[in-house]
Amino acid sequence: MRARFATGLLAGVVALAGACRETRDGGIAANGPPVDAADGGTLIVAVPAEPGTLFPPLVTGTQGAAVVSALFDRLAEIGPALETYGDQGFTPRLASRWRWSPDSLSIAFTIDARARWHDGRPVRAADVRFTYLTYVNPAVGSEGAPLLASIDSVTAPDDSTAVFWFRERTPRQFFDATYHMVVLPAHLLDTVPPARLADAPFARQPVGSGRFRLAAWEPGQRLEVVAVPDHPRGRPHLDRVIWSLVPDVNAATMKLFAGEADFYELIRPENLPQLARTPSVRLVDNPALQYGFLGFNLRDPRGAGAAHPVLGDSLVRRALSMAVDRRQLARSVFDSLGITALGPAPRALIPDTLAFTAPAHDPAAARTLLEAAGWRDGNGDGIRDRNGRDLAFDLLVPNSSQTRQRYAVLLQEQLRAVGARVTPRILEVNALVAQLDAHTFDAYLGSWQTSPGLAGMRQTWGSTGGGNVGRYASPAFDAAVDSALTSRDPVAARSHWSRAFRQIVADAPAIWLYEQRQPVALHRRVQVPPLRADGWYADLADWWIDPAQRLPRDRIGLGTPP
Amino acid sequence: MSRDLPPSLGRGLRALVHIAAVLMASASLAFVCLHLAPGDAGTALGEGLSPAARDALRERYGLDQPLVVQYLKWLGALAQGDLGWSTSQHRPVLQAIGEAFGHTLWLVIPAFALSLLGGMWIGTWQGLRAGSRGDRLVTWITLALHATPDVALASGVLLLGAGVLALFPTGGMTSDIHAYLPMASRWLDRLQHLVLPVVTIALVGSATLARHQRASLRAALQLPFMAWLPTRGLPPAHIRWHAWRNALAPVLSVAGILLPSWLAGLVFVEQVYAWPGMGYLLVQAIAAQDMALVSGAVLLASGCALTIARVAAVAHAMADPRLAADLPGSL
Repeated sequence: MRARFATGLLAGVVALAGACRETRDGGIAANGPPVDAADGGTLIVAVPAEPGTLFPPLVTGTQGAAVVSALFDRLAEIGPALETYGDQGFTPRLASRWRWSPDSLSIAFTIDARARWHDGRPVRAADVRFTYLTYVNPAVGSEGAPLLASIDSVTAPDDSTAVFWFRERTPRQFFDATYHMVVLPAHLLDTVPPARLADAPFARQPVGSGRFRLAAWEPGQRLEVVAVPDHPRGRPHLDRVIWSLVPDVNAATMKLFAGEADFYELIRPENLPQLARTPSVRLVDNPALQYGFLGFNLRDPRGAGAAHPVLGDSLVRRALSMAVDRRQLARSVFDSLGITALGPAPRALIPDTLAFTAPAHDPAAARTLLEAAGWRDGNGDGIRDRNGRDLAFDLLVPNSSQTRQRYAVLLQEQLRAVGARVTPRILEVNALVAQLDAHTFDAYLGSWQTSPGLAGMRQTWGSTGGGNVGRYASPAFDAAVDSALTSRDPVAARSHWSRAFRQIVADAPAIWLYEQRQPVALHRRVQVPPLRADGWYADLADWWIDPAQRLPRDRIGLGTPP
Repeated sequence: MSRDLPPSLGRGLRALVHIAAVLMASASLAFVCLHLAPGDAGTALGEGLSPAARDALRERYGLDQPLVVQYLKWLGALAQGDLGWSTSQHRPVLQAIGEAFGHTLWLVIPAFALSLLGGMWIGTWQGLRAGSRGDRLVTWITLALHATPDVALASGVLLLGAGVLALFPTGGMTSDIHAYLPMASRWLDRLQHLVLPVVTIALVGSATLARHQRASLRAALQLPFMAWLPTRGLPPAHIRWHAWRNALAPVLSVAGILLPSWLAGLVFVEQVYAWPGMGYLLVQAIAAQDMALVSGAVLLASGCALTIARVAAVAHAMADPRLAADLPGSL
């Protein structure tokens, strides 16, 4: 009797599994054929975390940026080459056209008369003005505010014209006015006090003007956008995109290989063999604008103003740079998915990569430099010392990054070979950020996602930059960056950039470690244009599903749930 | 004053005060501990952000005020039934916790029922055959399950059920296109997503309860009165029933500990199966240094623990009437 019960239970579970698999793939009712053969389909993106907010000025991280990019529009969109000089390469979005003033100190954008918010209201110039005021309002606390410093004001002389007024003529005026902001609907937000905008219902139920609109956000589960069929720029090819939350990396890759997800951004080298064996999934190149580095604190963490007793000396920093075999590190950690970094920017953004040379791996030269700086192994313990102080420092590493943890171990070994003792301290991200912000550290393993045109160089390595936690301060570097960012002559700008890179590489405020190639895993039936380096999601509306390879979930259509 | 109250009412009031004190103490402890940890909601925004952006967030939520002021404000709001505002989810704490707790209940109720039934059945089977080859084999299995870390077991079950056998989905409460499935298929979809996480939890729960059931049943069967019962002509089934009932109390105690810990959040299981329950919520809230959300979750967990402790005490008394006299209060 018991055996029969157990057998029956098992049979029931198996039957349930089978029945559900069938319904999962085959029980979907189509709600109507796509208008175009390339139109239709559901893209499921597996993501490790969900955005905390969809209020664009406060969105941080790829997940939020991807959703915001689908829901909202900029005035104009940067071209695939990410060219930031003037308006070359930019294509109209919410603005149908624009006009430069004769003195180049203002740009008048004409709002596309067809542009509508997802609630049906027309997009107006007042929305653009409201957007600018919101992004720069300190009470809102947008990370993008410093990038808008060149804009003096925005006016709206009529419903269809938004005029940007600039403090000075720079080659990136157009880029500044269009790239760092998506336009917000003033009619839904202008009654909310700026400090409360982050908590307004809009932050969880945003209304945009993009080619997708928000369909559902189930916290902790998924976030869904669906195509706007009558969008003035045409409906997106995909019917819907679903960001499906899978916090566990192994579960996420399993979801991808099981065909439950179509896209996964965080594929790891150890997944590559399985990926090669899975015919339904392929790798797509994703030229991310990211680089990793070992950043030094140039100031004494315990005293204001004084140089760091070990790392304040540029000779020591250069020697440490030369002691590191960056090529071997990149190969060990990334296999073929990483290359050595040249400087404080990925190669794709450095105007002239031949104008400067990162220190080559030369342990013998590193030892000579350290001797010259007075660091010798006086007590024979294998660690150099000077005036009773060891050549030793702590290296902060976030516990969230396996890559950087691996780097820390390898760096420890390589630097020990020249007589430096590095103690990796793996910290929870909050603890790490607290120490970085307070400058109470010796060194850290960091990573920057750069913006097109190197527009964020002042923020990351400039002496007054908020992200320059190691307090690198070089008037020569600052001047060269300022000149490069403001020069309207591309040849001169290139020369200024070369000078800036030469300076910072010589000063070695960091060891530039790697540029990570981050290919994404994609289901074979999904066809994509070349992924844009500043965000794989930039052209999401142009992705399409091969009609011959469609799955049942691609045939759901645009209708609302039954 | 309490001397004038009827004894049962006095006991009830004392129990209420006791519950309120424990709840406040645990939530306050969570509030203070989180403040003692490095960083705050500003640093939780992540690496690479400007200090200005962090400061704006601190100012917005009053995190730049002294700890005492923050605590008193939180306490004042709590007194009015307001658990506060989640700085990481940008919505009321009550709403976030309500959703997550509902999701955890979905998981815990069937898992607990399976654990109770499975654990008692296996433990009883073992207890009645103590020392046999089958008993030794099952003892090894339950020990292995008991000793396996939750995250490893969850990953193993996931790999087997969703990877190797490909019978069940890889995670989530429902499939991503759940809303578009025909109405009749939605329940099947839900059930299918429930199988692997419930099996994972039930394996651990059954193993734990079986080990206690076996041990306590063996002890009960060796009590002196058990040898005397057959002489009174009681049938073996009746004798086994007496032994089983005598062995129940320790099992109920363990069940009373398991259940509230599960309700507070099955951190690893929820993480592996992408189940948006209390465990997942708590981990996210701690990572985001979301004081109000963490305190609210701790408050709920403490409430569950206290409530279930009372229920377990009542069940204890029903299993062993001698304990009924010791049951304090009526709450």
